[in-house]
Amino acid sequence: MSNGVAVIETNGLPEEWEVNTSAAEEAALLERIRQGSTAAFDKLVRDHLPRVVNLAYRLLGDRNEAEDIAQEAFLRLHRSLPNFRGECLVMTWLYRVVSRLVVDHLRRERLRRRLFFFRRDEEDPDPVDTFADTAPSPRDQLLARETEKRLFVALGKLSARQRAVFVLRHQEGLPLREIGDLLGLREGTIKAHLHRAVQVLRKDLNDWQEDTP
Amino acid sequence: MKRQPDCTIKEESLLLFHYRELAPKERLALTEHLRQCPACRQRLAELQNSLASLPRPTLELSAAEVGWLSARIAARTRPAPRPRFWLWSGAVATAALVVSLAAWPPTGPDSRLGVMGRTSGEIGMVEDPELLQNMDLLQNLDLLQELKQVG
Repeated sequence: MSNGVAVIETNGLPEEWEVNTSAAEEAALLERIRQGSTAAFDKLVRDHLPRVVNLAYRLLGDRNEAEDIAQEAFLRLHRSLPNFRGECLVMTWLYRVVSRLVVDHLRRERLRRRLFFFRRDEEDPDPVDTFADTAPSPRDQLLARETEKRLFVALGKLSARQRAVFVLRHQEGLPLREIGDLLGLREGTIKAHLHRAVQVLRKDLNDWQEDTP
Repeated sequence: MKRQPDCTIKEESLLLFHYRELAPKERLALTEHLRQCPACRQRLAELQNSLASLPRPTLELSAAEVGWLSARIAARTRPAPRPRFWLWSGAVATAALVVSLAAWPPTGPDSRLGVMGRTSGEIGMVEDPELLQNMDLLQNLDLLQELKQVG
């Protein structure tokens, strides 16, 4: 994970990414932070925090882990500010860092689980996920909530990159070209990951819907 | 629903069509194909229904939660307090001075008498004849008391 110079070439973000500060205001804010203003950094954090936490949550499916990842992303931003040349929005930079942190985190977590359960085949379902599936949900739970939980279970069956590509494209509305920049992958690879992710999710969620009374 | 005999449209193409990720030329060609192929229209509709049914999980962070998390981040960005080297260096210098003074060879007459190896307390007693006299008196007093007990 690189945490050095914060530069990506494009700024083609979905409209919903836009925060209430303009590029000029953001540049002024960054300059104040570089001059040592803690209040300015606090404002930057508060402006972006909900979106960053939500991105991490959609990628991970765990609130505590999402908050940890968000904190780490802001700390890296703080360290990188001296090198931040303003060629991209802070939000773009944060999305890149969060995506990569999550991919690394998921890979470590998956490896840890595999080591723990000594799975023989990589294609076998993750036992931890299987255990999660068996937990009966309360009957009075809202269907939407249950579907959300099921989505996270299904997402857990994807590789870290497949998961990141799907969430960034489908839930964050980011173009594939941007995702390639964020994750450092070629567009062809991104397309293959997206296709595989949608296949797995559709199958898993269709099976679940058919089994649900 | 039957696909056209020459239909070679893959699911990945339909997916990219849905996400508007096909190149303009490919998109145009697929749009034209969809007009003529009810099976692919059906496949596309099913795909879009599946994707539309997927939830978009969202956390609502209260102002207090944002404040708490921001405060944690701010605390972690503050530099850690530097160790007080000046305090430690002063203490080390003082200790070194004491040790060096204690180990310094005495320049008095005892150094010529070869009293090396004695403790500084012993050296002090040797240098103080009055203390020696007092010790002699105490020893004599002890001796007298013992004699008195015997006698």
